[in-house]
Amino acid sequence: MARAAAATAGFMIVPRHVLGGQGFTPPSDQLTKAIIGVGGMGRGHYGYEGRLLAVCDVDRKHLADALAAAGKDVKGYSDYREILARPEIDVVHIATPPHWHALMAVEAARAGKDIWCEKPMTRTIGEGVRVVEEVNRHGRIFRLNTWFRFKDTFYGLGTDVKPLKKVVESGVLGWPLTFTVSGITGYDWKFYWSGQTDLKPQPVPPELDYEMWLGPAPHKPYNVHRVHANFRGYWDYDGGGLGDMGQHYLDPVQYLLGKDDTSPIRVDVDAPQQHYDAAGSWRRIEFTYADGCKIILDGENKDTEAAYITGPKGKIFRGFRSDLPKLQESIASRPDPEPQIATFSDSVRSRRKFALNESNGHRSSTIVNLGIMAVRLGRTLHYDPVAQRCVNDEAANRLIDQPMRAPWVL
Amino acid sequence: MNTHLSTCRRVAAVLAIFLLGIGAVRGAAAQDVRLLSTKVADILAQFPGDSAAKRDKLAAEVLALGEPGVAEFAKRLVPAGTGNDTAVRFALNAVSVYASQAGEPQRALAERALCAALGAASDTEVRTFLLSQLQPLGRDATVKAAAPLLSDPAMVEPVTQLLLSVNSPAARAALMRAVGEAAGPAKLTMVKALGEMKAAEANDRILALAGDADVVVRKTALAALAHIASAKSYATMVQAAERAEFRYEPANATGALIEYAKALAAKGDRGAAEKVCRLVMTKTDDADRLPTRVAALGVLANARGQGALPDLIAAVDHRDPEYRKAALLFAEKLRAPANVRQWTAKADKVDAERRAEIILMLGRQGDKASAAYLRAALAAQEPVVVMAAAESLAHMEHGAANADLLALLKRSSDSQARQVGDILLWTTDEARLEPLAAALDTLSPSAKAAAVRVIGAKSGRRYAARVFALTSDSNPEVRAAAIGALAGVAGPGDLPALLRLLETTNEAALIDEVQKGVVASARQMTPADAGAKALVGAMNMSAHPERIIEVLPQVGGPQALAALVERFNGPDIKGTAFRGLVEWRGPEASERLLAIYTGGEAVYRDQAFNGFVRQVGSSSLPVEQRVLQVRKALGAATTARERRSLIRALGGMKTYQAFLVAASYLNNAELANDAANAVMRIALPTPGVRDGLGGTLVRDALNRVLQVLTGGESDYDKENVRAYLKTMPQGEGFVAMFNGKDLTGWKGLVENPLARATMTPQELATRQAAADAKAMTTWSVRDGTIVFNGKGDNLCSVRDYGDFEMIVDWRITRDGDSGIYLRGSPQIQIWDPARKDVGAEVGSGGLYNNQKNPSKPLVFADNPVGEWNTFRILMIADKVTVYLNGTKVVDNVTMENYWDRKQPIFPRGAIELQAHGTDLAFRDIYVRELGGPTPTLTEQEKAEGFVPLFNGRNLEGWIGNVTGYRIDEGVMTFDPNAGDRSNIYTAKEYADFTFRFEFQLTPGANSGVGIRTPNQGDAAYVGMEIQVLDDTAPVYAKLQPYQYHGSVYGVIPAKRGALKPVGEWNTEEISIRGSRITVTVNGIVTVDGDLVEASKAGTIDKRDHPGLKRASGYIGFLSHDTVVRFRNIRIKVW
Repeated sequence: MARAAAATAGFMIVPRHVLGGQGFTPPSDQLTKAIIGVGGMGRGHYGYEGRLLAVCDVDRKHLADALAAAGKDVKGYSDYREILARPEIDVVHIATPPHWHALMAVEAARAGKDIWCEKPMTRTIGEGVRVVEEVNRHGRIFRLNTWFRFKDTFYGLGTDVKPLKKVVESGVLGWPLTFTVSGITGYDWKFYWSGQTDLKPQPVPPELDYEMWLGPAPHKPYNVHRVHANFRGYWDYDGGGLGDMGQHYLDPVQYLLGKDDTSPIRVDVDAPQQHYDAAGSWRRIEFTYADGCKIILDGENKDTEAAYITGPKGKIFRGFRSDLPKLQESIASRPDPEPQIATFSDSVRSRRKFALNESNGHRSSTIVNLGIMAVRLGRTLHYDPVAQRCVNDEAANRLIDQPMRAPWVL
Repeated sequence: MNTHLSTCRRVAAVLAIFLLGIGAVRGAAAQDVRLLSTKVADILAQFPGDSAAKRDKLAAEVLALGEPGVAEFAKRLVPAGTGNDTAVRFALNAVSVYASQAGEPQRALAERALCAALGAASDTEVRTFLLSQLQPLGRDATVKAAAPLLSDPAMVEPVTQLLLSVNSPAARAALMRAVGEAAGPAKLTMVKALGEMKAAEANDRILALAGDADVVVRKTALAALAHIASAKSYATMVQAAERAEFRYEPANATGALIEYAKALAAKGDRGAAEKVCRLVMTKTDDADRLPTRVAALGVLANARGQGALPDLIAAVDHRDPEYRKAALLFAEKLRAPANVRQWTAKADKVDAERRAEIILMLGRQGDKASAAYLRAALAAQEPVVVMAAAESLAHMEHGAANADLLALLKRSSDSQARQVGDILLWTTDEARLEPLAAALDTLSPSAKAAAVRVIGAKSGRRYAARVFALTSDSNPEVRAAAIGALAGVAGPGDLPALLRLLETTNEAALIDEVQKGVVASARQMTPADAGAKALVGAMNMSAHPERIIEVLPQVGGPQALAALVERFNGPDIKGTAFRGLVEWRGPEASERLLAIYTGGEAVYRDQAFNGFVRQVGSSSLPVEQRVLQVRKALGAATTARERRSLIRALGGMKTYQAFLVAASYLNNAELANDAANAVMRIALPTPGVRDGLGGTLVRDALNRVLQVLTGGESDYDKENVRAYLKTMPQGEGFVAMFNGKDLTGWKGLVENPLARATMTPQELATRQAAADAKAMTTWSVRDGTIVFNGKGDNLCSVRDYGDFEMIVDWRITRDGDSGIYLRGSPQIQIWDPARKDVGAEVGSGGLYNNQKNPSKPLVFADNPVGEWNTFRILMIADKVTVYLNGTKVVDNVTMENYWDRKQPIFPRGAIELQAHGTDLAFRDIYVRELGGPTPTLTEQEKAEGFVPLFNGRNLEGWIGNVTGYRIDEGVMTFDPNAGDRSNIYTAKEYADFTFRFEFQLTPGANSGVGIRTPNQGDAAYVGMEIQVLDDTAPVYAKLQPYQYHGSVYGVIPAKRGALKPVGEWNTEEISIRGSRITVTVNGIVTVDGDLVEASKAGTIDKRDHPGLKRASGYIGFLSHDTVVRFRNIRIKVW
């Protein structure tokens, strides 16, 4: 009980008007927000903190439904740029399919908005680099909408991340560590989020502005399976279960490994040949860091004895079981991890980075995108985490720098 | 399979073939007489490759066909929606990916071929596809082929993307030529690309667009100009931003100007970059435009590097904290001891607020040179400075900061003490508690409370006595902190003290904390139930028994559960005890809650139900048990809401019974959608695991699921269901032996199988009719179950069964006795375990009549008499496996023949429900027949002494990789994805023999038969390998003759051409006597040689083959990377 309160108290979060000193007036007591993309995911953002002023969607039905469920002060838009131009909106929530995230985040940063962005952060590494640059450049606060590094039990592992972090930091497992993310350790790679390989062109429904839905993505003939809720199965917009769930699963791993400012240097993959358009399944992806730490994505649950964390001196299995005697009992006695800001408005008001922000979010998004690149290319990739480029692999770097369709430009 | 062609060498092999393809296509064609179209079809049939290696191998095969070959593929592309050209797209994409990595000749060939295809294509979508596949390959040939398409508005975007990807002078020139002619969106596309190419030659043309009336044109032009970063653009870009008042607007002129400055700096023109930034900063000093000012400062800082320090230091004087903090984030990156001095000098000159901000920046920056300043700042007057320093120092030094933080704690005010305590939580471990504990007496009450909290949080057991003493402190804050720390410090011996405290504490919040301490202490006691025992004892003496009841769920164990049940059944604190049951952790209470729900008082019904659903869903009980509990609850459910919860819970239980129950609600309008979700979850495989359900009943139910599923992500779900329907195991699967209504399919019992065999058909028919009539009076159907009235004979299936899997639920009453006869023979035992006189305490499920083999169940797994039990029975050959309520009680045990102990169990016979004088019930009887044809030898083979080596049902008689081979319908299939890829061997060794088998190849398949080999190592050398290979596959076009199918690998080449087309079954005989060996494939002798002769001057592969000298060894199948099937395997030993 006492510890939960302590985590944020260490930060000395002070209301903005106090930080502003004498004469400083806060814009409002409560942050105001707008949501771009109000399909299934965006509607989930209604309940997050902040007073909703505007929603935006390129599907008129989605927009009408969203407005019907919103308060009377909420205004609807079909062009997100009109929302960015409204000065009284503090925070922009981006809940579109991933191919729009970078563009909207960058434009929102330029417009002086703080940003609450759905996962996956960006669908290419190049886009992520731009988001980091523009968010930092404009001094914006950015939160990625996954949370397992700072709250709740995460997925099937059945434990809070905090005791795991304490164990990892204590060094009792030794170093380097290997993380295995599979059904055995409690995760589901959702291979049913795969695309179809022979989509027939269909008429665009009248309520949908398909050109705007595609936005920066290459033009492909409309089919209902490309859009709402189905887009996850296509490389142009997302990356299957790996693309869509990967950041949920891998961001806490990155946090636990303390690798928020770097990336793996090598990715090995075992997968069937991939379609050029539709994401498919894969068997195994292995990420290796410069210090020998590894992340193994076991898509087939092949290692039935897999531990979530394997170190030279001990293992931690799903449900926090361990081969180390008395590990549970000794956890409390170790130092707590440094506190993280886990309430977005605290971050906005104090202008201190949110626990999962553009910077570490970009790095976990990078792991996902490296995995997608390796699956698509079907080969080992060598990556330079400082230059954020693949080494001697132009085809791979082309996937880092996929150009946007005009007139969209980052 | 041999290492020469194994994965590690595959690349070389592919390359060799590839080079052959380029240099001497005709040479390859001379060996392979198939028409080009046939070859294309053969290759296409293999797409998509099941691995990247396979993809590359296939791509190399495509390229080996040369440009005409690739054209043959591209010709098969069709416009989207007019046919399925998926395989072709996979093939061309494979070529694109492979050729971009395989070397210049391949890249150039692929580029030429795809450009030719582009020239031949006319459909927009097909062209777009080809252009996208050229991206990793494109050079100037691509530019030449693609540029003419820029005149087609529909092609502008994909062509431009390709030119952008090529980004050569020729590509830029092509765009420059086209942009002059273009208009509208096409022009924008090209302008954007020229900008991204940083094409300076385009600058003037784009400048002209920067003032366009169309906002999108302006935006695109300004962004392009920013990228190109020509000095000539300065005035235009600044004007555009000024028109936008340096605000965000849709043309993004301000953002473009900032980007322009960055690009200028990147080109080396720092002066111009700085000029832009300073201009922007002077125009954006109001709150609205502050983010832009920040951006300008950021670009300036990046451009000037260390030289930007004065600007950043000056930014600290800004009135707006948001601006200051952003500036300090930029400053954080300029890390140098000299900078630290400048920052600390600045900090000393500014107000506390700003000083704190600088200190936090120094902490994040983490330069050791700032540590001394941070330490000194701990003694500052202003709390905001002190806490910033404390946090920064802790961040930099962790435990090494503890002494300073303790000193700070000692002098801290109340509110500050709490904050310092919070920081100590992340700098302190148990080993650093001593100074804190030693200082306790000297601390102010608030500081003492903070210190005690840290001791509790870090499990400072050594200080338990101190903490206990403080639980009666006169200061309420200290007392509360001490009580809160109890859970952390309490040991197993502290329970009495904690229980005393529990009696005397009165504040609700503190009782809660004492209870946590009680739980912590009780859980540490040994043996495991000692804590629960002590608590139950204390509860009976307590004035507040409910306080103890409340902790019992967390302490756990049978004693605690029994106490909860007892108290629930008692008069006093029923409600508290009930909450304890609801909150119980672990599987043990779900049964109790179910009982309360089904039979208890109305006030508890809802909560009991909710608790039950939660516990049964997460319980560690075997899933079969949980399904039984859910079924029982369903029987008692009265509302749709309850049924819905239960059906949802079934969705997480992957058993056939759960499927049956869920599927039974598919036609219930109110519950169909939940039932559909549950059926889908149960029936479909877990990703990566082969645990999907099969069979007609499942197929029918899933088709129904497709009709009823709605809401949420149902499109995905349906897609998933459809995909599974296509790939799910074929065959009938489980069929119902009992229709739930009458005894159709069942008959009476006549004597035993041996006695029946001696009867004439007439006699048997008469006796059967009498037995049937009798059975129908003693066995009947009630409420969907088969029941027995306690008198009469067994009830027998009309059908006979050989190998099968069976599921059945059964229920007996007190002293009950029954069993399941398999193939007409007794029996899998069912009896009341209370009957100790007959040995029933071992439980049900054993093979009761076994004498030589185990007859008792491995473990006791019965449910109480009167409750339902679930059997899953597997009978394969003479072996039986039984699961009782999800627990394996018989593990692959030989079932003896009770009627004639000299002979093995009959090959087929009826399944019988045993009658044994007590009332019984059975329900949900399903059977799935297994196994294909038992191996049959021809009369001649029998006469010659052949024996089967493979029983067609399981891998009995085989050793090694028994998990990599799947058995279906008498066929042994190697699946490289199933598991292990190593070899499988006969359990016995053989010297001289004739070995016959049938095999079926898949395209490019590679396997082998090891003979006279040890059961490990590379059989081709340590023994001998008779090659099994699709030597017609293009990839094997350049094989050495000693690698052809049938060769004694590396030693004696085989004649080629005896194989049937890939996919058909082949017969083969390998006969070896002494050093003589013959191999006969489909009746054609392909090898007839002498091993000594063939190796006396060295083997033809020039490798060492020590295995040739072996006189005997195992026979093995050597499959590795491809699917191969074998059947009808038999041997004659000479």
